[in-house]
Amino acid sequence: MLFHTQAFLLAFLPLTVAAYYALAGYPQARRWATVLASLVFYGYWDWRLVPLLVLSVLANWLLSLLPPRLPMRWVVAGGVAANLAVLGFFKYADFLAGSVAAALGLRHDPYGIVLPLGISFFTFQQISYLVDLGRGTAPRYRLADYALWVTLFPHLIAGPIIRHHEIIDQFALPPLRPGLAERLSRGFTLLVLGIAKKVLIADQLAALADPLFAAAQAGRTLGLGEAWTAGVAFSLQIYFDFSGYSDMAMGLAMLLGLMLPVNFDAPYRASSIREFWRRWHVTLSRFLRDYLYIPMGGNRLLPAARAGATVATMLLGGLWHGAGWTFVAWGGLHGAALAANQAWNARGLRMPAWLGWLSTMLVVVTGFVLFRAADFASAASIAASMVGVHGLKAVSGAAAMQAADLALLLAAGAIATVGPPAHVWAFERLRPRAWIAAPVAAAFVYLLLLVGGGRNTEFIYFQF
Amino acid sequence: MASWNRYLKALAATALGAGLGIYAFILVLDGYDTVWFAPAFDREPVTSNQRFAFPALARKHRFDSAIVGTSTARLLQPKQLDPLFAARFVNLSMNDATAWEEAQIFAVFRRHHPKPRAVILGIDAVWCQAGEDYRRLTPRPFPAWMYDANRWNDLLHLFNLPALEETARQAAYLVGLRKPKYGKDGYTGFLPPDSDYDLARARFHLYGPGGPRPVVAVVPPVTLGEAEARALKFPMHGLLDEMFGGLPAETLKILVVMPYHLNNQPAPGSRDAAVWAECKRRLAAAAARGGNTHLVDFMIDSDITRRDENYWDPLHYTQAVAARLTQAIAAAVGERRDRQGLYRYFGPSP
Repeated sequence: MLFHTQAFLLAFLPLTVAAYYALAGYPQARRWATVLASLVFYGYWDWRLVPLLVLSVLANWLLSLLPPRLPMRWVVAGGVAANLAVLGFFKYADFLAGSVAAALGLRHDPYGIVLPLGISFFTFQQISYLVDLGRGTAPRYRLADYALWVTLFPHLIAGPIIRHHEIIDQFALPPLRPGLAERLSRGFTLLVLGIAKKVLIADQLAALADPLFAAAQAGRTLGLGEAWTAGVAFSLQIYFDFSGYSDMAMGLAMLLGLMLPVNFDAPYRASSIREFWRRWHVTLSRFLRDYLYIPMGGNRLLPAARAGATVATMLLGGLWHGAGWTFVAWGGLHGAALAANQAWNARGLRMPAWLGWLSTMLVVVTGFVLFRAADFASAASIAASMVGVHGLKAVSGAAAMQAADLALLLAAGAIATVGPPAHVWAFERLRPRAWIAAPVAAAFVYLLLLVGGGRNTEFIYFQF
Repeated sequence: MASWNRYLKALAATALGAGLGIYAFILVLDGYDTVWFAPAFDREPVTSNQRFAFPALARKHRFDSAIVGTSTARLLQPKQLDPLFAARFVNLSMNDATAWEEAQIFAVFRRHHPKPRAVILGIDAVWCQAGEDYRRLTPRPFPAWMYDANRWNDLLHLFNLPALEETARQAAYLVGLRKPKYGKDGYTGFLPPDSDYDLARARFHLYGPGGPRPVVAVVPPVTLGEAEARALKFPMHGLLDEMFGGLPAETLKILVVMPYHLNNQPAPGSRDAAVWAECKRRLAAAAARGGNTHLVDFMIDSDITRRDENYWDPLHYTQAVAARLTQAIAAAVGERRDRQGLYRYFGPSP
């Protein structure tokens, strides 16, 4: 079920929130009702995917019950391996088999494996729990708490990646505790902002970027202006798409009185690539840092080894985003940029903030061309167009940019770089004024009408 | 605390007020004329996509006969057909319709008119494309919810911007602020009037920039062996059984193969021509089995199809030709024989 659909906003959400508060006095029933609602939310897409999710939750939870006298190191290693095996089967089997076949000059017919939604998210979350359990930093939870942490519908399909200790304690808070009206108001307002970011901005940017990437994939050479339009439009699209989703997730959780971690903190204001990754998909960055980079040695390593660990971490981070070599290369590009940043800082070199921002955005936009392109050939073609290899003419073909497209790009760019992030506005700066509430509610009704047309696009991050 | 209560109340009141108000507006004025409990205003078809506008017309009891087809059959005028067949026709033909979509709109008509007086089905390329399967939908949205027997589920599909826009248009028609654009019998002259006809422009559409060129026959002509012809599959013909099967014997059923301009018909002797011939043979056989079923084939080299001045483009003929076709259909069904140089007739003997 998508958040920005009438089925979700007019049926699932009101019923679920009503049940949650109706069961305010029954903590266990409230947890199970929310787990059940989350499974309905998950299964609405394809109910055949529900058993895998349920099995994954039960298996990992049962693992945590094993007596501590057992060698936890091996228990955890086995659990992590099993989780990765499941993820590998569903997400990477075709990719690996295809890559091996290509290396041997053979043909690979895809296995036709259906990728369960959000599998990367719920697998990574549970891996983090098992590792923490092994480190002795995680308690054993009751099944209701554990299941609710993994399945909670606001974050189940596309994150944020929530660590167990960030939310499970919140499940015990009484839903009707003081501040209910404020939590509902702020949560609903952020939900509306998130939907607006997705529907009014990201989807419009997609209409600008998609034909250009499709043209490049079909072998057409883009002009300089077209190539930059494609890169910038997609970079903004994925930001508004994914951060809009995260805003919706935070807003929805707040409707239940739960605070999710921030996932996007104005990443396009970053003046270094390191800062970018502290602001972009923050919960994934933290995961990669804590469960990959630091175990590899992290900042304690010698400079060369540290750079290697950084690149390796980002290569795996790229692969997490999708089973394709373009994603790996995208991770590698960011890894190399981060390693260069480490070397730069280690020498105590400095750069004006504006130059730092510009060079960061160059890496980010170029990276997203690689991320979005269907293959290396079209990515290389667009990148070549961006540096003027295919001539300096602004556009080629019939796709001259309209004034409205330019306005959209400029407005989206301004919001992404100047305005406060939506969650900051809704959760910190919003004041309880009726003249703000009325347009927020009117916007909600307008968005409901807009998404009622039956032609919704999926979130980009659903595939990861 | 109190101020957040006020904020929340303002949120809820505005969202509920605006949402319910808009929904009530859509349900009461009912742009698509599909809400069964809406007040019985004298509504107009409002939308340019006939797939949304015609289910309402298909339900109207003021009609007892229907025309179904694509844009080529949209040019037939019910008011010209009515006196010839002593019937009250509604034209349910839809631009770029697939055979499946035609079957769906006819199913709605049949549900509300179990004993139609006459049915005219325009046969187009969509009925004669050989293959394993046929296309059901086009890029144009098709609201399946309007076509099923359940009127309640329509209510789930009406809270959206297109429905609001069409309802506002309906409201403007009802209060006389706008002049209706689409005919209440389904007929809309979507081509310019004949008085604006421009032969040079039409020839550009017919032949492209190269200008008129003669039809060149394929030599030697392709002939399909009996086994090859029999192996051809026209799966959409199964829809004919759905559409006409079980109709009363007294219902007049007419299949009209629409007259494409000669240059747009398969070249004589080509494989395509042979496939079309096999398709028509099967349709004629189906007509023969059907009872009170007639097939009138205008897709031939005729006085209509070879004259450029009869067409706006390769598919769409002028109003004068539409009137002529109307007369010819009635004559064919009445006389039950070919008329040389105009049409071929297949059906019950006179």
